[in-house]
Amino acid sequence: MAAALLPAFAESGSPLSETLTFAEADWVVTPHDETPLLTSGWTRVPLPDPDATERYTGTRLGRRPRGTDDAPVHWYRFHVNLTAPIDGQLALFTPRFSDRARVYVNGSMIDRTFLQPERVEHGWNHPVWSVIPAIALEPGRNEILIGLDSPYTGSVGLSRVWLGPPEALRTRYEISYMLRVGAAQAGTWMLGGLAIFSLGVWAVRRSETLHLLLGLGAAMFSVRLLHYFLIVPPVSPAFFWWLTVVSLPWAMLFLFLFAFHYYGIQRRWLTAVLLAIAMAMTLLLAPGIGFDAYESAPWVYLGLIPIALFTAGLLLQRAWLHRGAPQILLAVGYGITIVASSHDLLVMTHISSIELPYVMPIGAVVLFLSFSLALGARYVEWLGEFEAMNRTLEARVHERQVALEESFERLEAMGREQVLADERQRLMREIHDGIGSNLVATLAALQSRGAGDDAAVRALRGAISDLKLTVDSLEPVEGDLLSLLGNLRYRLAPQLEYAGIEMEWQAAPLPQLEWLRAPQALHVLRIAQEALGNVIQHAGADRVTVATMHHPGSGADPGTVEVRISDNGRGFAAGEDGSADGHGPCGKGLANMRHRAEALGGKLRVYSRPGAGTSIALELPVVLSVVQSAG
Amino acid sequence: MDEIVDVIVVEDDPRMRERLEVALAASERIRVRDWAMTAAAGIAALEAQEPDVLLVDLGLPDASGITVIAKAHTLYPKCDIMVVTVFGDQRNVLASIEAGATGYLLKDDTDTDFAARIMELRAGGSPITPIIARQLLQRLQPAGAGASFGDQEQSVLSPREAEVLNLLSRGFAYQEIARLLDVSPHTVGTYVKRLYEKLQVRSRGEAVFEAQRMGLLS
Repeated sequence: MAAALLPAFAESGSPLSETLTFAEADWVVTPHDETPLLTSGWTRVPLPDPDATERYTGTRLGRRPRGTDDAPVHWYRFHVNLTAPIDGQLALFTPRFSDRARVYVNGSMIDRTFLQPERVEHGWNHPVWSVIPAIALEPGRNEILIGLDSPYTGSVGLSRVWLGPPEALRTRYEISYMLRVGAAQAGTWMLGGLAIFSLGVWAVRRSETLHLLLGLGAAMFSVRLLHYFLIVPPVSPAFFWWLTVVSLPWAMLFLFLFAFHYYGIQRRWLTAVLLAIAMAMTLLLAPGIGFDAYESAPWVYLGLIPIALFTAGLLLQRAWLHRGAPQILLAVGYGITIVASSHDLLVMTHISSIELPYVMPIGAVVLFLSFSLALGARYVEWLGEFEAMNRTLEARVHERQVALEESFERLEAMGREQVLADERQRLMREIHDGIGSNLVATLAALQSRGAGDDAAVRALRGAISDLKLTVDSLEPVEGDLLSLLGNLRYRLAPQLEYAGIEMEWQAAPLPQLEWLRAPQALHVLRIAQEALGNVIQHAGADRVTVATMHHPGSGADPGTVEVRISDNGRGFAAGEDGSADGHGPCGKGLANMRHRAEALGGKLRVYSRPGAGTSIALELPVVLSVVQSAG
Repeated sequence: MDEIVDVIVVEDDPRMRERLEVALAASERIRVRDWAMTAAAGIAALEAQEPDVLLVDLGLPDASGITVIAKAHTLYPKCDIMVVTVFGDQRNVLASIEAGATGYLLKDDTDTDFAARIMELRAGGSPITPIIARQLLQRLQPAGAGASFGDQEQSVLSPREAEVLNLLSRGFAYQEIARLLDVSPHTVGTYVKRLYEKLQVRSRGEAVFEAQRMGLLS
């Protein structure tokens, strides 16, 4: 249908004030590239007209390839009535055509989409933007012809055509160009960059198979996107279309393997089978070997549907299972690709309008973006795990270190104790087999010669009993004062019996005295021995009482312990300073005992009255607040 | 009570031997079957005949008296073994008890009635000093046993034995303990003898445990 005629407005720079949309055109075919001057044979066709070749030859693509000077040209004619004067230009815009176009206005060519007529230049994914200068237009009826041919692909088609002021159509054209060409260009570069990055990572870390697969997939898609915008096929159209068609199965295969690998699924035989199929496809479609890549493309793409659905199913199932950001990203990215490719397949098979842009370039970018993000998210997760692991590891190392130090200290302490114990044992043996045995033997020898109670015998007895005290003080009693005193009682039992003194033992339990080590023990034993010795030798008593008691302190004060040794002997008058009168060596003995008690941080009290016996009380602290030297 | 006690003496110090000869000859119920000066001779004498009582000095020239004690204990579990020691210090005495001894004789002169000590041992076991009682208590009844350590460290002592040992470690004499617990002094002696035996049993178990521990440590 001819365009509606509209009045031109003086203020408009264009002969048309509104945009005209042509949804119909007159169509005729010339066998060669020649302007159809004839006025007969025109057929009215609706636009978009996707299958002009089929209408002309009865087959989808006709006989192909025809060569650049052999292809028939399909002419589409439009009429537009303009009012005078013509003082501006008009823009012609069509979003889609195949595959080469020339634009004639009133018999003169004003534009064409190819530079060199004798080579194949693809225009099937480029919108047409032609500016018709004012000089080419005339008042009244104007004839516009669009001539299309397709030397390589054979497919000829035209979408609707828009005519109007350039400024009114510019945005539409720019959007169309960006969606069809710009997106594909950006996609090629982005995916190319991603491929280089991923393969680079893999080159350094060969164990990162995921990066290898992602890189190869991105590289394949990068190549694949070239055909959306490259006008002149590199090398040859046959090679170019082969590359374009076979890159998709490879890309899908790599994505499939990526998904499998991502979830740790290994199917060697499946991988091998798919690789073999892709390889066979690649070889079968290779230029000069088997099937023509361009013609077979729809079958190849249909054949990819199962593997795409399988991959999508796996990703969806895993996303449903795990519901983590990376898993959802993978599923969503792949889902978008499925939608995009379905859309494109419909456009390609002309089921959907050919005016719709192919969206696979955008889909591919989204797909790889989400896959990269998924990979990144997983790395971030891993990093977090690694950090946590590192922290645990550090904590464990620290723990071990502390434990090691402790056990080392313990070993060291054990070693020290062992050395001490060995040394003590050696001393003991020395005392036993050397000094002790000799003293005992000497005493026995003296006694057997009848020396009853002379000074030498007394001295020997004294030495032996002192040695015994030393031995006892060296025993490990862990602060048990009662055991120590009990041992003294045991030692002195024969002497007490011999002197006819009865022992009353009133040993109440005592707290452990941490400070009671060998030197202190010896002091305590000497005090007690001195006291009991005095009872045996001087007191003239027939009964001695040894009593122990604990005086708990108030509050935090652990209090004191007391050892009281009382006899029922003759007693004596005690002086203020503790020195006794009338008992000879006893006085000096008391002073010694008092010194020893003070050295232990304790007190010694003596209660005695002539005729009323003697009581000696040794009071010792449970805890030594200041470490005192008692040696 | 008129049984004759057969005794083997392993003692290298001639002066001590002389004293023992004098003391034991005075008793009608003690018959010394053999005298040995070395551990080897002692073991040979033991293999030749079974004594009722074995007297062993620890400081023998060829080996420790402990080996003789152990040998005697394996040969004749019923034989009473006495260690001859100067001081009765816990290290030597405990080692002897663990090897199988049930009593000890002090070399020193404070108590020269060796024969009486031997008969005492036959009757119930050597008196036990508070320090040794304390050690026995620690070894046989670890702190917190039965309460917090559960089965593994269960006390091997009966409550009565623990009581006796506790009183002994606090310096009480047999008679006093008998009075406090309302038993005869002889019963206290039997308790003590049983304690000696328990320490032997325990020390064998400990030896295994120690060996395992050393194996783990090395």
